[in-house]
Parts: sequence; structure tokens; C-alpha cells
Amino acid sequence: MDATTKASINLHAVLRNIQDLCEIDKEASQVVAGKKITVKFSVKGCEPMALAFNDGKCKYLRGEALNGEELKGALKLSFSSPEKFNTLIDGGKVVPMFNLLGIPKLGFVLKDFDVITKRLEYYLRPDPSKVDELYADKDYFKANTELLAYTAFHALAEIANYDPVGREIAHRMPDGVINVEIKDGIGVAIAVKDGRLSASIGRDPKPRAKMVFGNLDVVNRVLNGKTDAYSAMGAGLFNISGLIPLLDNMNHLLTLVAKYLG
Amino acid sequence: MSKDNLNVYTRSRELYNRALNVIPTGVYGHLGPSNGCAIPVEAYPIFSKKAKGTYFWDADDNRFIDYMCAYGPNILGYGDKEVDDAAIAQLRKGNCVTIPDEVMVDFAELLTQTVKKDWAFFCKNGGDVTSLAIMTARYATGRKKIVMVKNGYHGVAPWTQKIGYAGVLEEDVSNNLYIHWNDVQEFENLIKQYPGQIAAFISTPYYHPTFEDNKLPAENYWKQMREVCTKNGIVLIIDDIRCGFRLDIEGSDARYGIKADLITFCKAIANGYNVSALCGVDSLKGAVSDVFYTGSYWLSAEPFAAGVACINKMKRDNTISQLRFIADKLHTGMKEVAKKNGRELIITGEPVMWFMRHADDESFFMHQAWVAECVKRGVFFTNHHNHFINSAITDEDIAFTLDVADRAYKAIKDKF
Repeated sequence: MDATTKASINLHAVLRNIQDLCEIDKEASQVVAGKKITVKFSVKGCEPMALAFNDGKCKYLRGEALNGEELKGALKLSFSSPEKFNTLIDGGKVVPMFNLLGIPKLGFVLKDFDVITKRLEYYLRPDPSKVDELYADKDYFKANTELLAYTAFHALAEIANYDPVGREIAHRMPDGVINVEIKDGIGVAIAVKDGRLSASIGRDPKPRAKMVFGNLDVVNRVLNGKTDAYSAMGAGLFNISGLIPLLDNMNHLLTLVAKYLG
Repeated sequence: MSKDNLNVYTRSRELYNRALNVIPTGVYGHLGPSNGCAIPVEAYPIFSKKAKGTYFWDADDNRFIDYMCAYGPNILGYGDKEVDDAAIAQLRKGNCVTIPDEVMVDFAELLTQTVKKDWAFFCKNGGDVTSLAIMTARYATGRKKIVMVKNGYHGVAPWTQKIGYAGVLEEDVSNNLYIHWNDVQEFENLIKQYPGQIAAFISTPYYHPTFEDNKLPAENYWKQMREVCTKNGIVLIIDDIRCGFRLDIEGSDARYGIKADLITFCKAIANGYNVSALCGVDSLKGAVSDVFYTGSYWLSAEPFAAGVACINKMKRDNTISQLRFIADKLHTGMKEVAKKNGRELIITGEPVMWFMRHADDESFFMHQAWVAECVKRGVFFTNHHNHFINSAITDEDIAFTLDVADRAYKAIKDKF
């Protein structure tokens, strides 16, 4: 497993979810209620990102968005290697380098941010001994599945851009956008341009390929490896259409997602 | 206009649900709904019950005119009497025995005389012989690298696949080099980049990938590739698994005016009986003889007898001319029907193995919907792959196809 790829996944697929978590989970939202703080993560070899918290809501920022007003006075956490960042995300103890301006805000990271990441873990990694009970709760099941889908399809883009095998696969993909969607539910648009991928929440108005899951249960089963994609498709549990080489290669990338997130 | 009855697939679906319990993906490979791009799956049958001529009937007794021809093997029509009679007679006489039947020699003689090569080595599937061709070329030249055309298809053995595919190691494909179709200069550049390291160039006779317009060889392309291979001691392999006996009875290298060093056949060689062949020039006979290569059923006699009957019939009846005539008639009619419905049907590749799509539909959404409506009405097209003509297609069958095509356009009129 490539450490830079994993760190990018942790930044742009796992921690990215905090934006949605604050919408879905009252507990997470309450932790940041009335607070205005931006935390920027910089990891060597990876594209940086920031989470801008503002009165119970969170915005994930990347690329050009990192030059905006929200970054002024941000707490900046820097990691000298992807391995160190990954250790932190995996629950290990790593002290990041931080900017002096950020010292008064460290309490947020040490306390509040820790609570938020634990809530994220609650949804993304349900306790195996309680998973049946948790899945019986419709709201939990919906949140778990949607966050899993966001994680998987954002991770897929990072793998396509960083992992050596992922890059080979991505360069075989024609340009265009794939809409991955749940019928009457959420969607992720995956854009391919010159062998690089980017993912965003929502649906593109002019996709070149579509993957439409019949319901949340199918997505959950496929992403948790309980149903293989080919059987699920043959059984009509999800439909594909459009430029299939895009979807075929995306499926190869999804198998790598399982290795990184498994 | 005939009645617009739409197929239902209750029995196919029941069987598929049973299959899912005991067969990976229910039906794996290109005949399955996933790899076969059944879009949407509800429009397509999954299991067949019987086949005759240019038709098959599915498990629900729906009849389909089959323009996939089992992805190529059906060239004379399903259940062709001459071929079946020869196969059945051989089956009764002896099939899978400890030593081969004499019909193996008859078949090898007929095949080599027909395709103007010096020897024939029989296996079962296309992939068996493409892999044998590569092993033979590597052994004969003492070189490792293989040049192939980007997006070409030569089977499913690990060397034919790509990094990132399930079960494929980097080492499996580390000696593969790729060029674009029709690009002789790119081939020459690779030869300079890897001097004395390239064992073979393997390619289909023309470019027929999925989801792309098919492309014929540019003028002098094959002549130049032949010259470059000869000059540099590179074995020229024509992968004629898909095209063999549809473009030229002597093999597709003859169709495009060259002589390959090695050529692979399968699909249409025996009208659906399971046999494949690698044929080659005399100078490679010693090399292929040294390669240890065998299989439990490779020398079974029944398919050899079928192959003899099939090739004899194709030669006697000039099947290739028949196929071209049928293809031209069908395509002319289909383009007219499309135009009448305000659509432009684009047909590329060799007419007897045509690929089709629609203009102004670069992502295939409309085309997939139209193909699905055709299938629901009894015309089996695919939306991703080239199609195949067989010689059992009649004017009446073409008229039926055109009527269904017309009704399918009308069914999608308000959606696209």
C-alpha cells in the first residue's frame, strides 16, 4: 500500500466526510456549535485540505478554495511524512507541527476535533458486535451507507491520482463524468480528465456514464463486499449505462479502494 | 407492421437467480449480462433453450434473430445439417479417445491447404492458440517482448490483460509493448527503443475494439508492417480468432495482401464445434514442436469432423460472398430506417462484422436504449461489440429486422 495514496485518502475521502457528518449527526454539530475555526492539514507529498467550522457546520476546502477568507488565522497542522499522518488517523500518537498562531486553538484539535473524529468512526466503522443492532436503526443505516459511499468514491479518485496501479488504470479511462447515484438519493460525480480523477457530491448534468443503485441496501452490500458488483448488476440491483469503459475501469479502481480502506 | 409484443423473461430470471447461488456472477464472461453489457438487464434474455438457422429461442420461448452469432462461431446457421451430420457421425464412431482419430490429419490437411500455411496445431479456444503463438515466437526468436495494438483483444490469459485487472501481476504484462492502430512509425520507434528484444507483433487484421468505431487498415499498412517485421526478425502474428473465415477463406492475412508467420483461428472454423488452431509457416514448425502444450480435449475427433464439413461447405458455397451480400442489404435497410426516424446510424468495420452506433450520441445512452428495444422485440443486437453475419439470414429475416428497428426507434422517440 502506498503511504502517500493512503494519506490522500485519509485527507480527501475520510476526513472530508466531516462536512457531511456535521449535517447528519447532531452530536458532531453540537460540538462545533457557536464556533468558528478553520483547520488546515498539510501532509508532505499530498494536496492540502482544510475544514472550516462555522457555528455547527463544516466546509471541506481544497485547491483554489484554500486561498479564501476562511483560511485567515487558520490552525495549520503539518505532517513531515504521509506515514506520520496515517499513523495519527489510524489511532496512533503523532504530534504534528503547528503554526504559532494556532497555539490558542490547539484545544479545539485536542478536544472537540477528537470528539468529531470519534463520531465519524462510529458511522464508518461500526462495532462488529453491534452492527446488526446499529443497522436496524434506519437513520444509522442511511448515514453509514451514505458516508461509506462518499468515502469509497472520493478514495477512488485519490487512488487514481496517486497509487501506481491506480494511475495506470486512470490513464486508460476516456475523459468524461460518471454519475454514481442511489435512486431518489445521494449522488457522487466522478470526473475524468487526461487520466486524472476528481470526485464531487451531486450529479453532473451531462454524464458520459451512469451507475444507479436501486436502494441503500444494495450500496451497503456492494461496498461492504457482501455482494460482488457483477452479480448485483446481473440481478438488476443496480443499472449501468453510457460509456462502459469508464465504469469498467472505475470498477478496477474500486477493488483498490477495498485494499486501502479494508 | 407486425404487432409490438414485448418479450418477458420470467424463466430466464428464475434460472439466473438459481445460477447466482452456484455460479460466480450467475453467468460469467462475455455471454453473461455484466460483461455482455445487457443494458438494462431487464431487456435481455439470459438463458437459451434452442437454436436453429439464424435464430435462437430463450428459456421463455421468445425467438431472437441473432446478430451476435454466439460472438462469431455461427457462420452457416445454427444446427447446419451438413456440419451436424458430420459431427454426429464422428461422435458415434469415436470422439475423445487415448489416441487421435485419423480425421485430425484430414482436418489439418484441409485447413493448411485452405489458409496456405504449412502446419496446424489444434486446441480448443482462441486464447489457447494466441498464447501458443506468443510462446512459439519467444522460443523461436529468443526474445521476450511482444508488441500489440492498444485496445486489442487476444483472450483472457494473464499476458493479454492489464495491470489493475483482478489476478493479473505486473510481471504478467511487463514484456508487453503497445502501439496505436495503423501507426507503423510507432512500431519502428519501439524497435529502436528495444533493439533485438521484440519477439512478435500480434494484432487482429483490423481494429475492432468495443465502444469505438472500428477501423480498417490504412493503405499499405499491413504491407509495411510485414516488411518491418521481416527486416527485424519479428514474428508477425495475425489473431484471426474473430475474423477468420468471415473476411477471406484463406485467412485475413490474405484479405489484406500479406502472409503472416503465425495465424490463429477459432470461432467460425467449425460452425460452433469447439476447436481452435494455430497455423504457421514452415520455419516455425520446429519451434512450435518444442513447446510443451496440450489439453484433455484438444484432440477430440468430433470438432475436427465438424471443421472439415464446415470449411468444405464454406468453400463450395462461397459463403464469404453470401455474407457480404447479406451484410450490405441489411446495412442499407437499417440506415434507411434510421434516417426515416430522424437518426443517423453509423456503421464501421468490415460489413460482415459491423460495429454500429448513432451520431450525436457519443456516450451511447440513446444507442443502448434503442438496442434494448430491439432485443425486447426479438432482434438480438449488442450495444458495445461488433456484430456478425451468418449465411442462413434470408430476405424475410432482414425485413423482420428492419421492422423491429423501426418500432424500436419509435419506442424511444420521446426519450432521446
